[in-house]
Amino acid sequence: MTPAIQGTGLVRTFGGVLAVDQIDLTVRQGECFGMLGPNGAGKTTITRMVQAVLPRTAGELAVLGLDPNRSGAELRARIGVVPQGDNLDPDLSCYDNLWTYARFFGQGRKQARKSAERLLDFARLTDRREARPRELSGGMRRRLMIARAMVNEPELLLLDEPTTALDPQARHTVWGWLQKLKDEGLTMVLTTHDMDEAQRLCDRLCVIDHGKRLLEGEPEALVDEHVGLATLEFQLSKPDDLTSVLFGSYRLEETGDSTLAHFRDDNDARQTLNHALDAGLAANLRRASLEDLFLKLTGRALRQ
Amino acid sequence: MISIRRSLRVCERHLLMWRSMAGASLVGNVLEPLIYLVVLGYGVGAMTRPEMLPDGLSYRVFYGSGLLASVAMFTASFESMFGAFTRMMSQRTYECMIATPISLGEVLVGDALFAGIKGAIAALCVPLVMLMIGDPVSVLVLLGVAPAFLVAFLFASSAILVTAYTPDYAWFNYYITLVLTPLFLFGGIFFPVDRFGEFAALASVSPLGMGVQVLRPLVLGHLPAWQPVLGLVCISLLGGGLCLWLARRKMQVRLIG
Repeated sequence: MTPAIQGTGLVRTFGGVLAVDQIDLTVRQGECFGMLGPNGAGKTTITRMVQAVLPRTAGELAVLGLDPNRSGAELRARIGVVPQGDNLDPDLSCYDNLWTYARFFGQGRKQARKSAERLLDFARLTDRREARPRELSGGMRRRLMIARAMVNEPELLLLDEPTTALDPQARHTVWGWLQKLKDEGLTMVLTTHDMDEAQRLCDRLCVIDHGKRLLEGEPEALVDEHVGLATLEFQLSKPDDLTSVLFGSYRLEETGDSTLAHFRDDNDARQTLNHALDAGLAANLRRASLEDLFLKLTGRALRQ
Repeated sequence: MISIRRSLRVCERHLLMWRSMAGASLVGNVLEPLIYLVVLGYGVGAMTRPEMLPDGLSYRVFYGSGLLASVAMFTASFESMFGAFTRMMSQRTYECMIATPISLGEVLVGDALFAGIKGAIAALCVPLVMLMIGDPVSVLVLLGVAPAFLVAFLFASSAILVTAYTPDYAWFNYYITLVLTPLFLFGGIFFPVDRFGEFAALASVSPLGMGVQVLRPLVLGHLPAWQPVLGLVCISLLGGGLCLWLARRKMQVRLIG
């Protein structure tokens, strides 16, 4: 099966500044592929190249078998996009938002009416059809945006931070939806820096920073390989105090107010925990997470 | 390539938006010319003798028949400055549209078409007001919908170009003061351009001046000369097209990179 997205050596510069630097990208059909990276890493630039809005500077790219630089309109007709933040039409009601969007995809008036009804139902906003977006809660607006992206029954859905700024209830609802769409076989590319979200939804993911791809693979395998299986978190800033309790092979990481010890072997971690408790040190044993991996790769320094 | 069909979908969205405030918009379209015509007709009209104006027109009829063009210009310009800038920046409407098969160029053409329609509607409200206050209006004015649309389309396109470059709403004042206001005053709306002597020709080839020369005869019941008709068609389509092309280039960089 040809991949949904196949990119080789993708490059994009803005006025001589490299935003995307020789990135290879493969997204298989039917998978949820995550793009992780700090702000300004180049994720949105890649998404825009894939959605045929931004031409690439160099490299090869095929999305759904089409070249975005050449078949932009044809390709956009087959993609759904949930952008970062909110770009619902504030001048129009929920229903008209969906209706006009359907019209943008070339649907006839009658078909657009049907689409709008179907999607209002999908978003569970049938009773708010005449409301303007500003009268909706953040969760409702997000539901409307995801529903809108489904107007053309896309073969590929691009989501840019779909749950940022949502409360936990709304976030879980959105995750449930996305899981359902994924189960139905929809290919998705999810840009996020919510590690919980990535771990939950992504079959595979890549970590991007400074326009370069740092890693690609299945989330659990990546964590196991690059961080370890278990992590002990000590409420200590000086790792010197730990030398007496650490056991087996480990990697230490200082975060400022605590020290992390990553272990490849569960038993080493347990032994260390026992030693620490005996020595009266506060420690917390947990599974190594995607967040550990992310911070290991991209560093802890604040970004612009 | 620009697909006019897709541009019309953009235009349709704007008309849907406009429908919800059409009442307020139309009241403005009628009230504003009404005030101008009544007040200037009363004041300036009392100081002008019919033989001062061509065809022995009353001042109010002379002024009203020229006003259509400037109303088209201002309506389209404001829509394409404040309206378009809001859609481009704070509302992110353009960003939403270009995620669909519609391209940025098609969005801008759709915007200009909408502003053209809006300007033409506002312009044709002027002869309606003239009728309401008892001034003679020829049925030929119905043909004026086309030139009024062309004037509005041209100024919409040029305002969209200004919008593409403006960093902030405040910058529109430069364009309004340095371009629109002089055109308005030198366009032959308030008084015949022959008052400018040897510069009359300059005033009569200005885009707005040509619009006045096409629209005024239609209100008064005769066909315009062919020169301003040809001039208006050419400058609207070519100048408007050029403005939109340049605007697209700039907005592409601002919106997308």
